[in-house]
Amino acid sequence: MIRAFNLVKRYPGGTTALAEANLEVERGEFVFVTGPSGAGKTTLLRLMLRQELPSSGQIIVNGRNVGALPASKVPELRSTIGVVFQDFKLIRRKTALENVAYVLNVAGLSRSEQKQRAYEALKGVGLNHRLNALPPTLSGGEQQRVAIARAVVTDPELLLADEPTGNLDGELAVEIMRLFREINARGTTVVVATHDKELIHRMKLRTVLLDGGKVVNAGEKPAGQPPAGTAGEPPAGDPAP
Amino acid sequence: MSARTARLRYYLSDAWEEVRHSPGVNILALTTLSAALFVAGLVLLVLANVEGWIGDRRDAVHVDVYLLEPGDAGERASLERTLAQLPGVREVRLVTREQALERYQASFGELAGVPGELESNPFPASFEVALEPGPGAAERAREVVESASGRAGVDEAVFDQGWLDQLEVWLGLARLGGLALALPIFGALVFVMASVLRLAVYARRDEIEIMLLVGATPAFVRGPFLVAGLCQGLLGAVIAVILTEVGRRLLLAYVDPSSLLAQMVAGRPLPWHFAGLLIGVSLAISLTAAFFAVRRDRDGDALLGA
Ligand SMILES: Nc1ncnc2c1ncn2[C@@H]1O[C@H](COP(=O)(O)OP(=O)(O)OP(=O)(O)O)[C@@H](O)[C@H]1O
Ligand SMILES: [Mg+2]
Repeated sequence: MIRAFNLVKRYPGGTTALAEANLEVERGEFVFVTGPSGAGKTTLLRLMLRQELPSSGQIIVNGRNVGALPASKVPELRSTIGVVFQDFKLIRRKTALENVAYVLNVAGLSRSEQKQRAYEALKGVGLNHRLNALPPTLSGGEQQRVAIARAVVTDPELLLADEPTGNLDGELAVEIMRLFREINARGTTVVVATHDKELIHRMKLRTVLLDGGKVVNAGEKPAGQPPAGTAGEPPAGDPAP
Repeated sequence: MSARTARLRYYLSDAWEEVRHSPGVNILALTTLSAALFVAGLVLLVLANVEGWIGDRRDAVHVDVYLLEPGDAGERASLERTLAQLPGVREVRLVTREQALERYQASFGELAGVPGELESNPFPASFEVALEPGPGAAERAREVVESASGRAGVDEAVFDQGWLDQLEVWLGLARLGGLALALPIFGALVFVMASVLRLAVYARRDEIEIMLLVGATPAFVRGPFLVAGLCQGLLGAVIAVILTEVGRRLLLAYVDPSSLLAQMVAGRPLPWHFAGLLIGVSLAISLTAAFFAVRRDRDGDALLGA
């Protein structure tokens, strides 16, 4: 699903955020990307979404060579990817419901379908009581959950989540992880960037370690890559649905 | 509801949101547009009226046969019969000296004071020989002049259209000058409108970036801005046309409607084809401006140029 080959990203200021990073993620996998602050986690995700262009090397997502993709093909790539941005990126003058419905609008769904599915997604993150709130009136955790609802509402082929639990307490974080595993079980490949060691430890899933812009540990698939919601579940904090 | 109409509805409602989001910028754009179009409307109004006025004069082809004073009644009666029988003549009318003076005063209004103060009336009586309108009318008129000249009791026979020709030459020049000015003005308006609309786009750049990141095509993001521009163009033109008509009526309220000035510049309302032209030009300006305001930059990742 994802293949990074000698991926380099140098920012205009001169910072090298990625230095020949190599990575492979198979379709249907659930992967954590971790590493110290400034390791290049966000940059890696930005390159997958073509929010940035690689300085050299290749990044292939879902069969597309993202760096070489013509501008006209970018919307198509992005519409197959759900993203939870580290800074949420909610549209300030649209309500929570409208923010989630917008991606369905882009996908060409009817208005009633947009509303229905956006409502379900917000309910899934426990925000069905804040549908008509504008993002500036929501708490950090609530905004994060709207961003999560928007990322999953289209049932994307790939879900990229950048610190999706950064503003959530332990219980909510577990709840969100359960949501991600459900989506993963329906076929979505999931990549979660986080430095939440406890979360990683509890989930017992493949973990890629980035440091200084390099993949220093590609991690291992848990034995047999158990499908979500069955064997291999973390013993605590992840009640079966 | 088809996907297309759903999309159009979204564009419309978001265009309205867009206008509400930055009202100042949009009012500025609309004011600029309608003010410029109003001026253009006034020019077109005068053009249409002068053209119409000349046309009226051309249709009413006639020869003035000025009579010697004092005249002989019998002689005049026989002259009138002769003139009436010439080919192409529709009507022969006697204009007495008093009528000539009155006409002069009516068409020149206050300026006509001077002859009125004279002790005697300087205008001679004349026969006004109206011809059947049509392509051969000018030729017939010249024949009338020829056969009337030198007859008993005739001072002079005049078929004077030279001044109309002259006026048309001037009008043609004015039209050319207007056309030559129209193009740079059009360009300047597009530029001003695009700059103003760009402010509206700029005010929403964060939101536009988000829309593009979640998979919206640039066309989809641009749609509401283009629709807003289109509505602005339509509204601007309608305002300009209304203002032009209001201006015309105001002029008629302050100037004697039967005076030459009033008839030459405001006698008739702006014709439909000129109003249509204004609307078309306005739409062209606002759409071009909106297009430039939201055009994408080099790598197509953002709608705003770097
Ligand atoms: N737009 C940018 N311009 C210049 N330098 C940047 C930019 N974005 C990131 N960097 C730099 O690139 C490096 C990697 O940043 P990145 O955001 O990918 O790290 P990260 O692993 O996501 O960190 P964190 O855990 O704090 O979110 C950092 O040194 C950062 O300062
Ligand atoms: Mg980061």
